Amino acid sequence: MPVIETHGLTKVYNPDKVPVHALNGVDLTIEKGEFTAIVGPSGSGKTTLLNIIGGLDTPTEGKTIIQQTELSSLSDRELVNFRLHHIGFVFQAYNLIPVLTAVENVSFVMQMQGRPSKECRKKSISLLKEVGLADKIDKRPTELSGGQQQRVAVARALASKPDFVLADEPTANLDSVSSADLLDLMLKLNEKEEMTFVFSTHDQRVIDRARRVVTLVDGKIDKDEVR
Amino acid sequence: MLSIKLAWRNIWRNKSRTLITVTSIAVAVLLSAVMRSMQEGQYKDMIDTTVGSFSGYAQVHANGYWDDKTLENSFVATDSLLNILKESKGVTAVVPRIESFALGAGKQQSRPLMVIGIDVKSEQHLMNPQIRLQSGSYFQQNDEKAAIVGRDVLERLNIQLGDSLVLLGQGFRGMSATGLYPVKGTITLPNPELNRSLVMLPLHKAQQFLAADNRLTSAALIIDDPEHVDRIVQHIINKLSTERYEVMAWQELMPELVQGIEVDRVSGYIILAVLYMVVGFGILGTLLMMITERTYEFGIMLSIGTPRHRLATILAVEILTIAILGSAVGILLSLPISWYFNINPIQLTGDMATTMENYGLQPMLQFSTEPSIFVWQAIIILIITLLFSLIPVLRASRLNPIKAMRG
Repeated sequence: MPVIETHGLTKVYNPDKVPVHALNGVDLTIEKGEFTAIVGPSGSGKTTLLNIIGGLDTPTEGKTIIQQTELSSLSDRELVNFRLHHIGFVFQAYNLIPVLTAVENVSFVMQMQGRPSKECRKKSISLLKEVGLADKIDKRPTELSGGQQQRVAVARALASKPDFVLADEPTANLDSVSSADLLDLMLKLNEKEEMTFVFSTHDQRVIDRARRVVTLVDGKIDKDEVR
Repeated sequence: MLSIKLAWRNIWRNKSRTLITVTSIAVAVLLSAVMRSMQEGQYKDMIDTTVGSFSGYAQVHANGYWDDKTLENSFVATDSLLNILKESKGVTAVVPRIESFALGAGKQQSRPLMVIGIDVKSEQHLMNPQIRLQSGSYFQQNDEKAAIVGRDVLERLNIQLGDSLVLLGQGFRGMSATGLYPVKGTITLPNPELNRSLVMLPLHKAQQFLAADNRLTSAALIIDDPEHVDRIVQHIINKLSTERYEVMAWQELMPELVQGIEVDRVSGYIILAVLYMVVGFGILGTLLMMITERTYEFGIMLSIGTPRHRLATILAVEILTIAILGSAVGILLSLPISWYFNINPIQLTGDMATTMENYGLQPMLQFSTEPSIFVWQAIIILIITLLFSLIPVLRASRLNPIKAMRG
């Protein structure tokens, strides 16, 4: 059963002035356990596609179905709740709450879900161990390197037990070693936990390790390659 | 719990911004509380001067006396009446008086004067003439033939202490009233009009002079707490015949004083409202700046599924904590200032002092330390802070996460 389905996704910015077609009828299906890279040149619509799949943006036309729920049928409040319970996010950079420690950042999402704080802390520590940051649990983001911050972000994305993780250029601000480490981690989680990852990237080293590569050009799927 | 933890850490994330916000709230509370303390202190002083030391907080008269102040509207001071008044809960003393007007004459001058017959003992609870004596001595008993006059009366009549004062007037039921009284002392009162025209006689001598034996024009009541005056008045009204007597609280006796205080209070409120607005907009500016600085962070929080109301709660807790801190500091700063000027009132000089004396007030500014003044100012500033923070809080909670993360 597919985790993500998009049908005829179209997104037009400034429809009344100078229309910019970010997406032009994207049909995409992603099954559970896939490790998919969305690639393409700048302005090809990668981020727009991820935003719409993540329920952060709405399409001008078409529909997005996540685990049999059509996102456009949800109210703003339901959408926030849906994101909280079904989708994990990893952003480009600086995406942790600066006043919280690593463990608190990971707990944050679980606490938003209303889980007991003791359970949240226990689970957060275990996730931080899994991403190799057992000795950094009480460090604040400013005390962590970029790669470590992204590892915390991955742990946070997994904390809510999501159906899939969306990552928008997760390695863009990282050096090559940190990028490789992060990719290893994501692959390990994909294999071990069967966690579905969908990420956009420009980085050829990341593209080389993806199991499925969807290439967008001018808002359309140009190539969909499964390796 | 998480909201409180996040709010607390965010408060100290940018210490200088927090300190500026706390200081602006504290200064607002300080200014408004000190201003109100000065105002209320002034009003209390006005009331104490005019009410507490002359008219009393409540008075009993014969029905109709207050509208037509003549001896025909005097009443007999029966023991049963005085007992009812003395035994009323909250009444600590009853001060009987008989008041009228007469022409006072010295060797060459004559002037209209206000004659008050006072009970030598109980008057010490109200006007307390003994400590207000400027020269001479106080009465020994109620049938002593002597007069004590306002400090300017001697000069106006061109007489000396010990000289005789002739009083000519009209007594009860049109009887002619004449008397000759040696001036035993002079008295200084806060009211300049009384200093110019007051003549005090011992009660029995005044009743004899006015041919009104055992009659009074008023019985002033000394009460334990001015706040309870309405309850006490109502209690006495219930016990006395309303056909024969009228019982009035000081607010009814001196409506012009009440109105004057209200007018002044409202003008004070207008000044305070301007201050509140200035503070409110200052806080609004600081909060909008804070929201702008943290827009990206709010975008992340909304993206990962933080409900909008939780984001608003986190911000509201943050602002509320700052507002409480600022208000507490404001109270702590304003209390010692008001306390100091309560103990050491500011003595006024020059024209301002003269103006106040002309209004029958003491030429000084005494601040009030009434706790409710400080608490209310803190609460008002707190509410204003929260009202002005509504816009930034709502703005933050309604952010579009994508736009917020794009900056």
